[in-house]
Amino acid sequence: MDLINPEPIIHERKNLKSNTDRTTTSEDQRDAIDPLEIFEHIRDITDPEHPYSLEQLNVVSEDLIDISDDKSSLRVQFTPTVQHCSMATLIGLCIRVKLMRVLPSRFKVDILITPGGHSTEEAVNKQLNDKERVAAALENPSLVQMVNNSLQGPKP
Amino acid sequence: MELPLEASQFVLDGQANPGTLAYRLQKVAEAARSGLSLLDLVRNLRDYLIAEEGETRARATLLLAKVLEEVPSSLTGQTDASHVAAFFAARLSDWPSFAAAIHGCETLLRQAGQTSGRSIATADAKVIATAFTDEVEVPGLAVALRQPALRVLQLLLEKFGTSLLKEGVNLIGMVIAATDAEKDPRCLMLAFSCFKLLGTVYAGAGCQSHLQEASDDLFDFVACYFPLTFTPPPDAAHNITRESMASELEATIAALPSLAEHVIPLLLEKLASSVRQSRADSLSAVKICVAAWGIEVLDPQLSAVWRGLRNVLLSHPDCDEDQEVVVKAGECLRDCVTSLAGQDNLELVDLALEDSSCQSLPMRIQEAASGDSEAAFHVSSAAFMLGMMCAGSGGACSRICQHLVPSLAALARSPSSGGQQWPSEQLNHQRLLTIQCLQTVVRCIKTSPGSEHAATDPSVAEALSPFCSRMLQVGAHEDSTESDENSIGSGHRPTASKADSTSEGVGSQVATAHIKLMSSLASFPFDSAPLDMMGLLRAARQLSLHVTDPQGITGDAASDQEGVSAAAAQGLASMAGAGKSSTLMLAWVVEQFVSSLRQCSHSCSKNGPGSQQTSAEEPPAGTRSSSQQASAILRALGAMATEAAGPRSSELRQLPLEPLLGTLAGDVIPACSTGARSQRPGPTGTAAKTQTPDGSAMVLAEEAAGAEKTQKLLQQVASDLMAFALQESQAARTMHDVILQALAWAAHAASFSCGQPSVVEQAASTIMQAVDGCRSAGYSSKHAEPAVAVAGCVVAACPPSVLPGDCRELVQQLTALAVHVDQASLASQAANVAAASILAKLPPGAIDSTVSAALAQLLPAQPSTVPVDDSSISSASPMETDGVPSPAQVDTSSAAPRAPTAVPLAIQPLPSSADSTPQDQAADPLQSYTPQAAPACFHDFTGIKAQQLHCLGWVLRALAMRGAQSMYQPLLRQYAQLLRQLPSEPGAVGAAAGMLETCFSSQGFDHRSMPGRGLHLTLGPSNHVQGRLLWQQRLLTVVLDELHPVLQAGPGSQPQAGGALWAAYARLMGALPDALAAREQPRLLPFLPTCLLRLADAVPADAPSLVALLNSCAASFHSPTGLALLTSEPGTLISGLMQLAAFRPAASVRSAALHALALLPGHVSWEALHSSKAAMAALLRNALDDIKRPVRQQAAVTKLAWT
Repeated sequence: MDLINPEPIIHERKNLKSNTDRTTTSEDQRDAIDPLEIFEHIRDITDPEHPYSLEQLNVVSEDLIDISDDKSSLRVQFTPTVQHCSMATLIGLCIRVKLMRVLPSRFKVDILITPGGHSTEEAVNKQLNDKERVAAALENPSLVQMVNNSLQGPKP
Repeated sequence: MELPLEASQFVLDGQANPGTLAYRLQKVAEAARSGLSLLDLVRNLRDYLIAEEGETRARATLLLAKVLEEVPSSLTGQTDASHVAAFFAARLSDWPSFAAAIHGCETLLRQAGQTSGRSIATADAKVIATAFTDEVEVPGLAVALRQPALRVLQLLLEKFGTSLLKEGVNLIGMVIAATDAEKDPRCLMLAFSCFKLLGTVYAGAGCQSHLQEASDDLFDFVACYFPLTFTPPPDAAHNITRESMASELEATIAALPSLAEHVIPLLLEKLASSVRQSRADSLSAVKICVAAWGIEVLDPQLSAVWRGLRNVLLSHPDCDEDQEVVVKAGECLRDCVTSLAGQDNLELVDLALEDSSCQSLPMRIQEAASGDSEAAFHVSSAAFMLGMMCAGSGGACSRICQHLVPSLAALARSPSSGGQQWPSEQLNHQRLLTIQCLQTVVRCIKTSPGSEHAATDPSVAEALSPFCSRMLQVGAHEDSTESDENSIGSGHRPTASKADSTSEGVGSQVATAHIKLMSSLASFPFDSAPLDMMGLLRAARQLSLHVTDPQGITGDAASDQEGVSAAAAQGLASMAGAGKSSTLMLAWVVEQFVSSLRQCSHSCSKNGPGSQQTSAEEPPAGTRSSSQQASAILRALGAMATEAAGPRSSELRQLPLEPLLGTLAGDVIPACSTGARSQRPGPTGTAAKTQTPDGSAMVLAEEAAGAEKTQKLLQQVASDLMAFALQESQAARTMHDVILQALAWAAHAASFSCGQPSVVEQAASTIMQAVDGCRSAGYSSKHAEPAVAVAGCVVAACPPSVLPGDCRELVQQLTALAVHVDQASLASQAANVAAASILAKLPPGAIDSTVSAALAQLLPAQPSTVPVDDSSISSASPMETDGVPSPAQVDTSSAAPRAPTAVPLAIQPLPSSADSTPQDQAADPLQSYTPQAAPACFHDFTGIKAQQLHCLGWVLRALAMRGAQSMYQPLLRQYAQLLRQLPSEPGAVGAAAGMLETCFSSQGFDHRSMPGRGLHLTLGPSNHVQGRLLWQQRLLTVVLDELHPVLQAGPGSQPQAGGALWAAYARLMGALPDALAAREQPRLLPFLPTCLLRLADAVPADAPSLVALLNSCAASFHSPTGLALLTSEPGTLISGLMQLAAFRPAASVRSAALHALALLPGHVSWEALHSSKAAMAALLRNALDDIKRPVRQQAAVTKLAWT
């Protein structure tokens, strides 16, 4: 099968700030969930098409994450490597599933394509943020298998 | 030359874009540079210049002006310039061409004088000026035109002002007319400049009378802007600020002296304004005007100026801003004095001195002394005023000193005789106020803002000299000082005329204030010191008397004397750090101190060494003891040395340290030790303390230590210091803490630097005697701490090579002390540090049963005769007792049953446990804990027991380092028993855990004396060489042997004895090295799940233990044996881990527990985990929203593992 983007640009894995830099010393003070923490969760999701992580393909970035711990709201934008990427929905689904598993249930998560990042941006966004359609997708065993494969991270 | 086409295009095409216009202009300019003269251009543009269309005329005129600006050489001669000037002047009346014409005029005027022979002359300037006056109404123009118009006016004044004035042009009228009602900041700056030029031009031409005549109009212009109110708009591009405009306005006022009679009243009126900015601006303007106008102009106004400033200076500031204004007024007064002094005029100073505020100063001081707050304020304000004037000039300073100092000195002097008999308190207040007043004056001279010059001004210093001399006579010793000039340097205190005041607090304040005043005077920079060398020495003498006088110069209580002597010490220190002259002074003072110390010691010696002073022998009230004297002297020396050290350390070495230290060692210390009084009991430094509570002697000693010649002396000093400590403790009195700390550090420095065995031997001997003395005195903490602290310092500092071989008795004494000083935790710590230091440095052979018996007292438990010999350690440990084990030993040795062999230990039971005989206790060394069987001291495992266990930890570690298994095994055994018996109280847990932590921690320890084979080297998994200290492994092995049976017996039979035991277990698990942990898994891991469950309930949380335990747990999953042992009861393990995963006090514990839980699904069958799944899901739900990020992250990992 022909790849949609046969030669993607590979970016270096970033050295993120360590936890000690961001963690308060007081045991009673809350470390608010910040974009970096979310990014750490989703950076290692594998692209469905390539053996690279979403971070290496620059699909996800810390700058494109908006989170409010107080308001329990999270918005993640991702940028498919090409505008006509047919895997955009699957990537979005992987991100959503990963966040569903690692975040407290109180969060309202919006997964969006970076504006101008895809030819059918609106349709993909609508699909990714439709609760029923996401639930229906996760009832499909082959789709769940693909998502789980992606969530396992890049093969060493 | 032919006119380029672009010229016509420039004129006709007014709509072209700026780029095109610039290009066309450039073309014409190039033609002009190539030879086209301006007159040729005029001829060629003739039709345009006289065209009927105004715009065409304007553009043609503009072209001429631009070409003239670009190419000044286009004017070929003077005649051309005159023609062009006339042309532009004429065009000023042609409104369409006005902008171009004014531009041309400006260009012509700007080029005047720059191009000789081709620039305009005075006649042409007059033509322009006339046209400007007749045709241009500047105020009616737009801002864009007013600016060039005012620039033209400015250039006319600047370049032709004087000429035009001679030609009869009314320049004043021109300027006033042009600047009328100006409000634009850019135009105003030009207008201010024009006014300034007016002043210059008329003054230069000697026509000030004209200005005088027009002063009303000129003042109207100035007055309407003062004080200036301007807030620049945020987007202003002109960068004009309020400050720059105000400064320009002040300069304008200053440039017009003829306005003085109008301006000064205005400024003084604004000075009384309620608006702070107005007052600040007025003060600034007054300062500038006084500087610019001089006494000739100001003479009639000077008294008004003085009154205005005086009113501000004497006003009550309501807030900080007002206070700032007062300070500004002071600075203004100072600058005015400086300005007028430049003309040899002191009229302002005379006005001030004649003023009632200064005349009444002595009277006001007396009023203030009787409690009049208004008078007190007046005194402080007047002092500030006088100080600022003094700072203004040497002449002013001299005049003020002559006028006021005699009367003030009389007030500051000791009580008046024959006069009014005032209450002594009021009299002292009066003296205090007077001295403070003088202090303010000196402070103003030295430190008032902007008066840096005053402190270094030789004339000011010269003027202050008589003042200083006077003040030196003011002190309490004035009579004797005056009559005993030649006694300086003799070291003998003159007969003091005591202040007859009995008011203690105020008396010391007076003395302190006087000392500060003298310090202030004496610490002027060297080049301008107002005191000559003799004056300095006299000041130093007075200050040193304050330090050394045993009776105190104020007759105050000892506590107040302390404050006075501290102030004097600080004064001496500031003198020491002030300048080169102080080296001599410093040397002299040290000499005096040595002498005083000798006197002090002789007086103390009268009581005889070791004698106990009774209450009847105590010094009378108001007299300091010898100990206090020595303390004050040492403190002063320390302050001086500290101040003079650092960059001046080389100078410090020149000080007469030898006699000082010799005196300390030979006279002072023995004497003080007998005469020391308990004055200030309180906690003193411990041996482990690293900061210097009083750096005095340490600085001296360390400085001296660098010099070889003083080494021998230092040894002697160190010996005597320790003798001092010994005598102190024998006398059962608390040493004066300052002396003690200073001496302790001196001993430290001395022993560290000289490293002589004799010193250290003496230290050991001293410690023993000190400890013995402490015991006989009843083990009071206050007495024990200092001695042991000194001991700890010395012993810890000495190199092992010089430690005396036979320290057994010393160890005995120290440990006994640590046990018995129940109320003295600091002494206990100090003792154990000292003991551990010694033990670590002793050769193994030096530790015998005697030492062991002494150490056993640290642990108030039953003696045990169940032995554990070296062979049992060898069998249980992967290494030999005295060497590096072979790999085979490590791999094959097993936990073989121990083969108990009796060792000849005779551990002495404490009296408290005497009800239980050694034989009975030996029958069951691991007997169950029962309250009846327990010694009395077990009922209270609070702080002191924790301390004892802590001490034991140090000793055990030290013993283990030396390889003395026979010593630490019995102790550990007793400790293991204790763990079982300890109730699970927080204090007990802390004590027990603290003990083990101390034993096993990897913190740095001085193991320089260890034999080379004390290190066990192995190859790590990645072929890295790993080194582990054998002593640590030995200790761990023995602890394991002792702990294991207790663990087996404890939890089941003694449910109440859990916390301490499990804490110890957790510590042990955390401390075990990998190889040992792998070997000991079968013995230890079965307890782990229970420990997890029990420790989670332990209060307070012992997070490090729990984390260590959880890490051990996680590591054990990777070995088949460990996995099998741990998962034999998965329910208990999971419950324990889940309990810790919700351990609220420490996130690290939660994280570690979640990590261990995450490993379970990979190693345990799903069936075994299934029953915990629901609880786990609930736990993870909470953990994913934990307040700590690492926990959340670990929870996410764990959730993935479990789903």
